[in-house]
Amino acid sequence: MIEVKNLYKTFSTINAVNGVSFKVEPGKVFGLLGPNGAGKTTTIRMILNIIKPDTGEIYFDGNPFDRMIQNNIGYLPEERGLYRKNKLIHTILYFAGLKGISSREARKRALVWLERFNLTDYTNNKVEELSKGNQQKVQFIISVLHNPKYIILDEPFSGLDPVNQILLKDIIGELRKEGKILIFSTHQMEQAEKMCDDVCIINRGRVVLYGKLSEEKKKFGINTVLIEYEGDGSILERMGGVKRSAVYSNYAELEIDSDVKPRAIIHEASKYLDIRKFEVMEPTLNAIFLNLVGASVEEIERKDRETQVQEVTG
Amino acid sequence: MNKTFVVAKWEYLERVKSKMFIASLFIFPVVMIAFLVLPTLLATRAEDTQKIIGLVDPQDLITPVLMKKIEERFSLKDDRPMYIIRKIEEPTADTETLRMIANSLVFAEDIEGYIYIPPDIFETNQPEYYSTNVGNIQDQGRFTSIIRDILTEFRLEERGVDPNIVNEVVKPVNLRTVRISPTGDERESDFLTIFLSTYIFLMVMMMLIATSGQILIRSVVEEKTNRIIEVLASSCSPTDLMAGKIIGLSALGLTQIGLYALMGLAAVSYFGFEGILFENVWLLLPYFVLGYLFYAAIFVVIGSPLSSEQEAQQIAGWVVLILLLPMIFAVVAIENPGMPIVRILSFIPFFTPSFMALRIPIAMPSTFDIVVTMGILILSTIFMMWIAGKIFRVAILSYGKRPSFGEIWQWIKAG
Repeated sequence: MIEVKNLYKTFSTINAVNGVSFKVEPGKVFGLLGPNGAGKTTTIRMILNIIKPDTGEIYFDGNPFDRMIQNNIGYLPEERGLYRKNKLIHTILYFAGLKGISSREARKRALVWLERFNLTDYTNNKVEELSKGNQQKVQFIISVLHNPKYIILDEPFSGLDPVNQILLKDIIGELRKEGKILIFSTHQMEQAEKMCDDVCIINRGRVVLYGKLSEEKKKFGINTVLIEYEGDGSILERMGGVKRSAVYSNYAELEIDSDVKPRAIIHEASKYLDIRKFEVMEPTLNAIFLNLVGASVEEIERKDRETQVQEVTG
Repeated sequence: MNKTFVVAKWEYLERVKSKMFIASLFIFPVVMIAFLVLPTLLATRAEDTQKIIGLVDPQDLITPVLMKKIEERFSLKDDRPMYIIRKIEEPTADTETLRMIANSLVFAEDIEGYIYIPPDIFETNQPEYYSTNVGNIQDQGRFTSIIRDILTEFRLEERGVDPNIVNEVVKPVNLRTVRISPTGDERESDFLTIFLSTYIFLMVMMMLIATSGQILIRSVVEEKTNRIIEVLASSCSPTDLMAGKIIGLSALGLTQIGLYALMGLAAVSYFGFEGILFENVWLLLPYFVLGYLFYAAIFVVIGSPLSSEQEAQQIAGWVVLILLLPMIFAVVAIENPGMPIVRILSFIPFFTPSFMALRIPIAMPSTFDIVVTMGILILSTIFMMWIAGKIFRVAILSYGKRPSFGEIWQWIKAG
C-alpha cells in the first residue's frame, strides 16, 4: 500500500500541491485524476522522491522511501524520454541496471516484453529509428521490466493507437491481478472511468473527490440523463430542470435537479427533438467533476492555456 | 556506489563504442602529425630542385666570388648545386634596363628572383633581392650570409688580413645548457625540451578537461531535453547520477589520453627523441586529477541549468577560455619561473593545475607552494562538488528558461 499523508508543495508563489492525502491499495487501479496543471505530476514526483514535499509524508507498506523501494518502483513519465542514438536493447538494459537487475536477467526479460509488444525486430535498432508509438511501448517496458511492486503510469495511453491501447489495457489488467500497487494518472476522465477502481481527483492542488469510484458515483445519485436525438440540441441547455448540460451534435448529457423526474425531461425534450435513445444513468466522472468544481476539465485547461498565453504576450 | 557504477559504465561504454569517439581518436593525432610533419616534408621536397637566381651587378663588384661561393656552399642531396646564378648582362645597357630585363625574366618564370648589387654596396651594406615571392626566408637568409661573408673578405683583404686566419680566430660558441636539481640529477636540457614537455602536458590536460567537460554538459542537456532525467531520477539519486557521469567520462578521457600516450611513446622510441620530462609525473598527476574534478564540477554547475544544446556549446566554449590562459603565460613562465604573477596565479584554484604544471618541470616550486596550492585545490574541489551536487539536484528538473543567479542561489540554500 502507498499512503500519502497531507502533502504540501509550493513553487515560489504557486501552491502546486495543497494538502493531498490518499491510499493506494494492492490489486486495484488507483486513478489520480484532474486537469493538466492540477498537481498530479508534482504529487507523483514526490512519491518517487524526485522532489521533496514541503510537509507531508509518504509510506510504502508502512515504510518511508529508501533505496529498496526505489528499486521497486516503476515509473512511466508523462513526457516520454529515451536516448535517441543508442540501441534499443542497450537502453532497456541500462534502465534495468539502475533498478538493480543484472544484464543477463534483464536481457531475458526484455526479449519477452519486446516479443509481447511486437518489437523484436527492432531489438538492435537505434531508438530514434522507432515510431513515436513504438518508443512509447519501449518506455512502458522500461517501467515494468524490473517487476516492480509499485507502478506509476502517467498518461500511459496518450499517443498509442487503438490496437496498442487495448494491449496496454490488458497488461494493466494483468498487473492488477498480480496484486501490484498501481497509480494511473490522467486528465482524461472517460479513460479513467473504464480503468479505475479507486479515484482521487485533484484540482488546483486540492483533493476534490476521493474514494471508491462506484460508491462515489452512487453518492451523486441518479441525476444524469443521456439523450440521443436528431435536431437542434441547443434547446436542451435552456430547458427547465436541467442543472448542467453537455450538448454534442447528436447526443447530450444532462444533469437534472434532484426534484425533477427524468420522464419530465423526456417529455419536454420530445417536443423539440426526435429522441432516438434516452437513458437514465450514473453520473460520469466528467459530470461529477463539473458538479464539484463548477467547470469541466476541458474548460479549466483551456483557461489555463489562455492565461499562459496572456502572460507570455502581455 | 553500485548505481554510480551503472551510470559510469553506461556513459563510458556507449561513448567509447560510438563512431564519433573512434573517429576523433584518430583525427587528433593525424592533425597534429600533419601540422608537425607536413611543413618540413614540403620544405625538403622543395629543396630537390635547382633554383635559378638572377644577378644584377652592373659594376661587377662581387659577381665571380658570389657565383663560386653560392655553388660551393649549398648543394642538393645529389650534389648538384642548389642555386644556379645567372648573370643578367647586356653590353650597353644601364642599370635600369638591366633591372627591366631581370623583372621580365622573373615574370616569365625563367628565374626565381634576382639579387641586385648596388654600386655603393660597400658603404650601405645593402644588397637587394627582387622576386614575385619574397616569402622564402631560408633562401634570403642564405643569400644574406653569403654576401656578408664576401663583403667581409673584401674588407679584410683591403686591410691586408688573410681571411683564413680570421676564419680560424672567429669561431662560433655553442652554449651547452645543463639542468641541475637538488637530487644531484644533471642532464642536458634546453629551452625547447622544457617548452615542449610542459606544453604537451598542458595541452593534454586542457584537452581532457575541455572535451569531457563538453560531453558532460551535452549529456546532461540531452537527458533534460528528452526528459530521460525523469526516469533516471526515479531510479537513482542525483549524486549517483552526477558521480557516475564524472567517473564514466573521465575514464573516457583517460582512455583517449592513454592511447595518445602510447602513440607518443612509440613515436619517441622510434624517432629517438629525448627529454620529454616524465620524472615529475607523480607530482603532476594529483594536480591533473584534482584539476579535472574541479572543472568537471564547474561544468556541472554551468551546464545543468541549461535546456538546449546550443546554449551548452556556447558556454562550454567560455570555460575553455579560462583554461587557455596559462598558455599565454607559458613562454614567459619558462623563461622566468620565479615571476610573481605566475606564482600568485598558481594559488587561484582555477589556474592551479595548469600553472603548477608550468612551474614544476621548469624549476621545482618550494614545498610550501606545493602544499598550499594542493590544499587550496583540494578544498575548492570539495566545495565545488558540493555546490554542483546542490545545483544538479534541482537543475535537472527545471526546464524552459534559464534560471537567474538568484534562483540558483535559492537552490544552493534549499538543498
